[in-house]
Amino acid sequence: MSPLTAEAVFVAPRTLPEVYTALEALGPAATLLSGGMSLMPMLNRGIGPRDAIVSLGRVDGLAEVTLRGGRLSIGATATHTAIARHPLVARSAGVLATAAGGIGDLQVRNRGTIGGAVAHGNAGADYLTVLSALEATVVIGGSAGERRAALGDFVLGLRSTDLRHGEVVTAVEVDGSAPDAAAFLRYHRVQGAAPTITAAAVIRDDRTVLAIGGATPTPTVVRVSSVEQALAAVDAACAANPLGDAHNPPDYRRAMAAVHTRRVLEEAAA
Amino acid sequence: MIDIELTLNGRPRRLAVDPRESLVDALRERARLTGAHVGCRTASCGACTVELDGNTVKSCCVLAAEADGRAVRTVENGAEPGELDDVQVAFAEAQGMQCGYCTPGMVVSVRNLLDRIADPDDDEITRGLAGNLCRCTGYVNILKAVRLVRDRRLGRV
Repeated sequence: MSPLTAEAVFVAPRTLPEVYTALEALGPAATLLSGGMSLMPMLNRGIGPRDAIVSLGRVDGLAEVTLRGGRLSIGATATHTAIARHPLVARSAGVLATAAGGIGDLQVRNRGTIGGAVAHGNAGADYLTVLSALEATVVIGGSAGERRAALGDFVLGLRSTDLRHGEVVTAVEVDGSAPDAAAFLRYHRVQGAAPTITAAAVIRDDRTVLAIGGATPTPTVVRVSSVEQALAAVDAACAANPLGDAHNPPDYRRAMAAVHTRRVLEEAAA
Repeated sequence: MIDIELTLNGRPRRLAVDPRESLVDALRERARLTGAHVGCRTASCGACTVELDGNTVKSCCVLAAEADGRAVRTVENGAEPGELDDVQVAFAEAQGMQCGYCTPGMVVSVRNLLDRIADPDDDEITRGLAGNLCRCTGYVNILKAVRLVRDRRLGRV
C-alpha cells in the first residue's frame, strides 16, 4: 500500500443535513462511504480519492426499514444481513431478502449496505437486478431537498449513476404489497465473487417483470408475456449492449442470460 | 491523525490513526495485535476477520476511524500468548490448518458461529466459514475442528 503522506479528513455526521454540508465543504474530492464493501477494495488498490472521507455509518435512522402508505422503504445503510432477516422485508418483498442473503459472504453482508450497492451501480449486482424486477424507486437526498427516481432511470451505465455531487442515496422503496410470486437466481464463477448473472422475476396480478443483470451494463428489464418473448427480448438486449470480461466474455454471459431467463421464470411460476 | 476510542477485547483503548487507515492496520501496527492477518485487502479472503459490535467483518475493508466508539474483538481476545480457548485447541488437535495464515480469521468466524448457533450442522458450518478462504485448501480438517469444539461444548465427546 502506498504511504499515507498528505493530510486527510474523516467525518461521520449524525444527520443527513450535516452530510450534505460536509460534501459541499469538501468539494469533488470528497468520498462518500457507506459499508465500504465495494469502495474499500478500490481505495486499497489506490483507485479513487481517499483524502476526504464522509461516512454515512453514524447517521441516525438511515438504516431503518418501514412500511408506510403501501410502500416498503429500506434505509440506505441497512446491511444485507439486516435486510435478509427483516420481518417487513420478508412479508412485503421476500425475494429481496433472498437476494440480500446470498450476497458475498457473512462478513460482507454484515457490512455492505443497499444504498452503497445502488450508488455503486455495478452490472449484475444482486440488488440492482432484484430491485429492477420489483420496480423500485431510489430516494436521493441533497441540500436542495429530496428527489425520487425509478431505478432504471437512476442507473445510467456500468458503475455509473445519476447521483450528483453533494447527493446521497438515502433509501430504496418498493411496493409494500407482496407479489403473487417471485424468484431470484444468482450465478457466480466462484463462491464469494461478484455474480456473473443475476435473474429476478416478480409476478403480480396484471404483470410479470423480469430482470437480468450481468449480461448488459445495466439490468435488462422485460415486461413478460411469454417465456419465448422474454428470451427474445433478453437476447436482443445482450446483442445490442454486450458486457463481458476475461472470465466471462459477452457470448458466455449472453448464453447464461438465456438459461437464467428460462429458469427464473419457471421457478417464479412454479 | 485522529484519535479514536474503542473497546478492544473488552478493554477501553485510545488509538491515534490516519483517517484513511484500515482497521487491520491500526490493530496490527498501533495496537500491536498481529493476530488479524492481511491477505487480500479486497474483502475476499477473511484472514483479517474480527468482530465489530459482535458481528464479523473484514477489517482490511473497514476504516479504523469507523471503529470509534465501537467494540472490536480480535482473535487474541485479551488472552496471553500460549493461552488458547477451546476453538483454538480444537484447531490444533484436528490439524485444522496447514500454513496457518488463515487460522486467526477462521477462529474468529467459528467463535461467532457458535455464539449464534450452538449446534450447527455441516451446511451451517460451511456457510459460517464461507467468507474465510484457506489457500492450502485444508477445509476437511477445519470442518473436523469445528465439529470437535461443537461436540465438546454439547458434551457429546
